[in-house]
Amino acid sequence: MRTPSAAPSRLHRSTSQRQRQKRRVRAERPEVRPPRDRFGLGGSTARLRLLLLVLVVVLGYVLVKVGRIQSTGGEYYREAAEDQWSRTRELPADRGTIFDRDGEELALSVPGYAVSVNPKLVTNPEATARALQAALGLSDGDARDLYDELVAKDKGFVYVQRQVDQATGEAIAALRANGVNVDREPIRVLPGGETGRSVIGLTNIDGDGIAGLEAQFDDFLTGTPGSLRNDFAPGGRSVAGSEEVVAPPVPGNDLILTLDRSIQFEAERLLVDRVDTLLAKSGTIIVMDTDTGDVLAMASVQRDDEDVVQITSGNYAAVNAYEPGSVAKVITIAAGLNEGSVTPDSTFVVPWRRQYADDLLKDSHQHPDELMTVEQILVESSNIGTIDVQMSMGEGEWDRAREIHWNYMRGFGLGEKTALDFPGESPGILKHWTDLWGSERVTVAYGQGLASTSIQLAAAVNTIANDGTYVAPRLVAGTVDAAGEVVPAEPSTTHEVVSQGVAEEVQRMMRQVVCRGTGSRAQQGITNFSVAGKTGTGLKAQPDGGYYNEAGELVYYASFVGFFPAEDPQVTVLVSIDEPPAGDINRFGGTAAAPVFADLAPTIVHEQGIVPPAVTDECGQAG
Amino acid sequence: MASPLRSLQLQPGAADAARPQLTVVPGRRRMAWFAMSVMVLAAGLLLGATYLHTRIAERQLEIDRLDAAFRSAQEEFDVLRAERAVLRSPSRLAEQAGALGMIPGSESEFVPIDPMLLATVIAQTGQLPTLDAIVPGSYARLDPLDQFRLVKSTGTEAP
Repeated sequence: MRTPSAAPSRLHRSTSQRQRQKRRVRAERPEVRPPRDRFGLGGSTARLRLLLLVLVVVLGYVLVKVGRIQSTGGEYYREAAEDQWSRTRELPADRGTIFDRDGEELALSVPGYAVSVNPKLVTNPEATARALQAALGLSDGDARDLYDELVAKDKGFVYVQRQVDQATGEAIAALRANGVNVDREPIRVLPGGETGRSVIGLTNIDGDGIAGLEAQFDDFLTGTPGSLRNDFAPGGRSVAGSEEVVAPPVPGNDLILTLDRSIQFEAERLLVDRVDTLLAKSGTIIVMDTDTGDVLAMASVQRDDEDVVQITSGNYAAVNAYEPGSVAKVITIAAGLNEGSVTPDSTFVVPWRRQYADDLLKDSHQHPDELMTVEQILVESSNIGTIDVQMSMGEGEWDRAREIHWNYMRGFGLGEKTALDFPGESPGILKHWTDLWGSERVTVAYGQGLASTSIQLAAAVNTIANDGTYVAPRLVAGTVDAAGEVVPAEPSTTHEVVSQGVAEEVQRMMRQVVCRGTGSRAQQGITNFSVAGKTGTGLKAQPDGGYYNEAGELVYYASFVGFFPAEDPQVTVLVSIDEPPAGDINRFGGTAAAPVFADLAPTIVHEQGIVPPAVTDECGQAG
Repeated sequence: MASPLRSLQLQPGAADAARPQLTVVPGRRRMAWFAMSVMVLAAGLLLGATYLHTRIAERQLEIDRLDAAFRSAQEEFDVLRAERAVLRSPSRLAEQAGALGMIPGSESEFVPIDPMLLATVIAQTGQLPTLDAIVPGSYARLDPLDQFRLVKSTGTEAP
């Protein structure tokens, strides 16, 4: 075996020789210059380090800033950016619906649009004006005005038309014309036309209630608007698919009224006919559920400036107050009976006229001094006899009698607003008994010297029909909440005014008023039900304080209040005709108003499903 | 002549003593795998996030579409019930009846019905459906207020 030689190998030898030869080469070493400090910032290493430090600081600042923008501090920039490319607009909420007692719509909102333009964004004013004229049916003048606005470009927003129907609005939106905006704007409609307009009221173009129940329950019916965000490209075009509902609109609550649409319609129709036929000025009808106080119909009509009788926009049945006339005798007679100062058979010697203070007061017709029972006084509607009943209440003390009588009138609801609290409702006029002077002290007994609204008077007489208990009238039966649940309204408040026995006595007397007295026309054509009621022919005070108009004629206010079936009253109806013809037989409550009652009763019977009683009294024609 | 390289060969005994213990250094490859895994994971997360965002956007578009369809249906419902209310209104009925030559009835008569006859008719024809008997989808049988309430309650359940 060979052992390695200790001498360097040939390879090693040759290598070491070359190394030695290399080492022998001599070259001048470059002069190493000391680092120069060109910028006064030290050497290059120091400068690099400084640069690195600066970069780290800058980057760190940027990172911190980015972090803040991304986390907590970016809201401002986000909003600023969104303001540049997105717009948020209001989504109008649907106004609540108004239903009648059977769930039929009386007023509701349907989709509509408001068409507006931004002249600054309109690129072709002429074509735009022509397109809008064709779509909206603008007149040439309106189209020219629009064109001028578009050319002027000095406004950023101009309404072209509001309350545009859905089809037209969508057709205009489909044009996608530059600068033309089509925004949702619900339209309030009354599907029954004018039916119930006096009570329902009105909304303005912005959908705010301004009259009637629309105004009274405006906050309740009004919903909460939502908001919609759209992204817009430069030039004002919206970016497709960018629409986002930020907050959905919340619709308003809904009202369920006590009105019956069919009875309301028929009441208005008959009243328009009657006022028109009599050449009267206006008229009202109240139909009331005797037990609950629910107002089934509340009609007001008026002859307008063009001599056309129309349903009023105002609810005159609650707003206007007149001297009720003889209907108020019911209150005086009931008070006397309830106080025990008279009975139905009590008698008084009644002259046809009598002097009180400075006035000579009279009955409606001349008659000799007559021994009249209380029932006769009511049936024949004697003014003088009613004063006697009023005076009987104080047991000889005149002031006491007047005070008692006044308290009863308040108990029957006169002199204060009803529970309806209708917008603009009148409390009527009922002076405190101590404030009455002269003949006023006694004329209040038969309905002169005080004023009441139709709804007050109907509620007062309804007290008799309801066996002596006053029931506050009500118009709202319930509401529908956001979840679609029906929430019934509180029942009407009640209070007893006279005893049941007294009320039944007065009912019987009022039946006689229709059976053989001044209200006989209220029974005409009604064969299955007995009607009870009382006529009233009040004189209407004129601006000069008297009762004569410029032509020297007395101005009348004729009314009839009745209820049926007389044996078990279920519905109370008041009909009043304002300013019937003075020199005509139709100026009286029994001739002007009672026939309307008779015409309306069958509809009420049908709609309310009132079944005739098995037995009627001697005035009834069927049994 | 022997190769000069052969002289570099170490004897086996001497090699054992001089050779250093060489081991595989796993550190660098492990780091590479680790980096690759992180990258794959990050890429997967990014892809997943993108997919998720896409799905969310798709769902949102679908929700927006359904929401718009719901609003459109509600508007159509309002339009239809307004039309129905007009058609059912007494004023229109009176107008149509007048056009057909009909006049308001001047008399109403109540006719007593034999209870047995009434019972027989009801047994043969069946009674009008009550609300309880109505199955979903047959809302047309409900009165206008109940239809309205149903739609309104559906609106409050919408997202």
